[in-house]
Order: sequence, then structure tokens, then C-alpha cells
Amino acid sequence: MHTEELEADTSELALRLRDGSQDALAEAFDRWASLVHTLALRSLGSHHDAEDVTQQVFVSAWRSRHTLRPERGSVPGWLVGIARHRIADVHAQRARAARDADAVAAEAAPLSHDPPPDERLAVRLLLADELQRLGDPRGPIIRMAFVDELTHEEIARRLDMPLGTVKSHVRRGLMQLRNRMKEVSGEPS
Amino acid sequence: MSHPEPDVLTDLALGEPVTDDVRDHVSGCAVCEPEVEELGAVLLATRGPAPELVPPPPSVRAAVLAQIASSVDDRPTTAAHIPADELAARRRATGDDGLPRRARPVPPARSGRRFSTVWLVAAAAAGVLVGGAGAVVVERTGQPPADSVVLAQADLDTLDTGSTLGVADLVEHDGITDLTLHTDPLSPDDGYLEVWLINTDGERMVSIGVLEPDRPDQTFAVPADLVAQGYVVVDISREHFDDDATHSGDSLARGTLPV
Repeated sequence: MHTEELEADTSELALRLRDGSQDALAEAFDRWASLVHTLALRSLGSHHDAEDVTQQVFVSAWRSRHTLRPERGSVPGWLVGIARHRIADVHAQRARAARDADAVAAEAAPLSHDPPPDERLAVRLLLADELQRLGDPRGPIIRMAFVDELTHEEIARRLDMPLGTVKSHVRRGLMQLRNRMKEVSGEPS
Repeated sequence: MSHPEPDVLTDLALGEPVTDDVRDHVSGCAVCEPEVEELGAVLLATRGPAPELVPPPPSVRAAVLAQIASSVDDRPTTAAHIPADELAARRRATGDDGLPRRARPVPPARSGRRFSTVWLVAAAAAGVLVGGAGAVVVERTGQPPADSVVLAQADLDTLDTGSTLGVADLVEHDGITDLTLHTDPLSPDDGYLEVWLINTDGERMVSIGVLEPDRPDQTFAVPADLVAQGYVVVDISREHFDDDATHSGDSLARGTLPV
């Protein structure tokens, strides 16, 4: 699939989801449940909690589908935003439980701070997902440039493409990924 | 110099050759420097092998779809015929608009029986909590009608020791299906007791009402097609007043109707 088609495909999914299509929610689950689950699992370290969070994220995505703004952000960025809130909730619950346990035991242990959901991991997962979904020819070009760290000249030679075309794809690809990153950077509000 | 073109900044972030003028400008420019840093962060985050994705087990997908399916029909019923105090009670109980997700009209009351409002709440795993005035309570006076037929019966056993705390009867009369529970006194502790029908798939469940702890016989309306769809496991749970409408996971007793 080409880059433009893929973008159109994703925002079409966002529109259907916002309009209340259950199929769209199922598609979103199939595309991004692994991303959400991995983020939750790595942050919480518990399969049970990660599965709970994954379920909550997609159910709350459904309930708050009217907050989806396809023109302002991507579906995965939106899901990751919801996931970070749910993960933060679990950390907060754990901290409360720990405090209660402390109180019962009358221990003067210092309160542990809620560990922030791993923003860096969220960004890595989201960008890896985006990279994977970039169509031809931008996807392969970006992977060579960013992941394999080839120079533009090497990429142009390997793909037998004009250097200018490679440069243009790399620049636009980088801006595209930067916009994705902006969707999840910053503390969950 | 003026700010370089975005393309030049991406080149700088990528380590492609740029002029010294550009370097000098960006270093210390309040606009360009953060921009290049951000682009650099993108590159850093994409460099190297991607994190390995761990998909959730299939049960999570099934649970999500069941939960959203149960909320699809949430066309609010008209509030006109619901007394204000009852609405308020439901609002307290459900924490939302208080209107049941699916409501079935009240069948005409027959002599010898007294119906309070009959609300069927199909809430699947989400289990929209209906308490107080919204509960499915078909209160009977006297014995069940003589023309009723017991379709199925199940012992309600504790999950750990298997001791029997009661019996559930699935009864049909006049085309209406009811579930009657005959139980020993059960302790709700600080919360309340809720009756569920769990699907044989082990994923979906429907709350059919709140069980009063010290009444030996209580009857709940059950649509026949719910049973036909496989909601045949009767479960009594102990719930907390915690705004969480889902099953607490604390099952007191359970039994499967041999339908």
C-alpha cells in the first residue's frame, strides 16, 4: 500500500470509529491491541493487569469515541494516550494499596512515588508501529535511513533512485514521525 | 540569518552536510534548536531493533467486543414514565444517566401478583449496575401460578467447597420465563448481592438483579432468548458500593441450568 493510501485508510478508520462502527473498533483492536498491551505489560510487569488495561483502553475508546479528532491526531496516538491514563491509574492504585498496607503495619516507610508510565517506551512503540505501516517507497527508505543508519547516497544507490527523491522522502518521513511523537510526549493530563 | 528551511533542519538532525552558517544559527536559536532536538529524539527512538510486541490473549478481544456490543443498544428509553425519585435512585446506583441499557415493557400485572417495575438489564461483561428502584424484582405474593412449568433446575454451590446454598428454578408461565432463587440466608458483608447469568463461553455475563440477603425466595425476569444464547450459569456475587458495575469476582454460589 502506498503512503498516501495508508494515511487515508487510517483516517477513514478514525471516522468510522467516531461514527459508532463496532467493526471499526474491532479493526482498531486488531491493529493496535498489541501495542497497547505491550506498553501496559512493560510498565506494569503483570500479565493480569496488562490484559485488564488493554480491555479498559478499548472499551473506553469506544465510549469516548466522540473525542477522536482524526484531523488532529492518529488513532494509535489517541489509544496510547488513553492507555497511559489507565496505566497511571493502576500505578496509583498500587501506591494506595501500598500506603494502606503501610498504615496497617504502622510502618514509617517513605511513600513511594507513582512511577510515571514509560513515555519513552510509548514513543518507541508508536514510532515502530508507524514505521511498519509507512507504505512504499517511504517505509523502506525511512527504515534504511533511521534504523540501519545508511546515508542518503547509499539508499539512492541501493534503490536506484534519484538522490533528491530519497532526501525528500526522508525529510517528510521524519516530520511525519515527529508529529506522531508529539501526540504522546508530555505528561498525561 | 533567517531561520533555515525545515528541510535544512531535518538534514542537520540526520547528520547530513549543512553549511557552517546553519550550524551557527541553530546553536542558540530558540526556535530552531528545540526543533532539531525533537527531530533527533525521533531518530533516537527509531534507531535499532523495534521493541518486541506482545499481543494480548484472544479472551481480551472477546471481552472488549462483548462489552461494546452491550452498549450499542443504548438508546435511552424515554424518561417520561419513570417517576423522578426513581430516576434519582437509579442515577445514584448507576452513576450515569440512570436509564437502563435495554428495557422491556412491564408485562400486565395479573391478579395475585404484584409487579414493581420490571427492568431487564442486559449489561454483558460491563454489567451496568442497577440497584434500588431499578432492580429487576418481580415480587410475588403467594405461590407461583399453577400453570407454571419448571424448565430447568440447578443447585447453587459454593466454588471452593461445593456446599449447596440454594436452588435456582427456571420457570415458564404464560410465555414468560422467570428465574426463582431459593437460598439460605447469605451475607452481603458491607455490600450487596447481585445475581448474574454467565454465558457458557465464560466471557459474557448479564446482571439480572439484586438479591436481598434474607428473603428465601426471589424471582427475576429472564428473557427466554438469553437462555437460548447460552446464558445458563446462575451466579450470585458479593458486590461493593464502589461505582464499579462489573462483577466483583467474589462469587458466593454458582450453578448451571441443564437447558
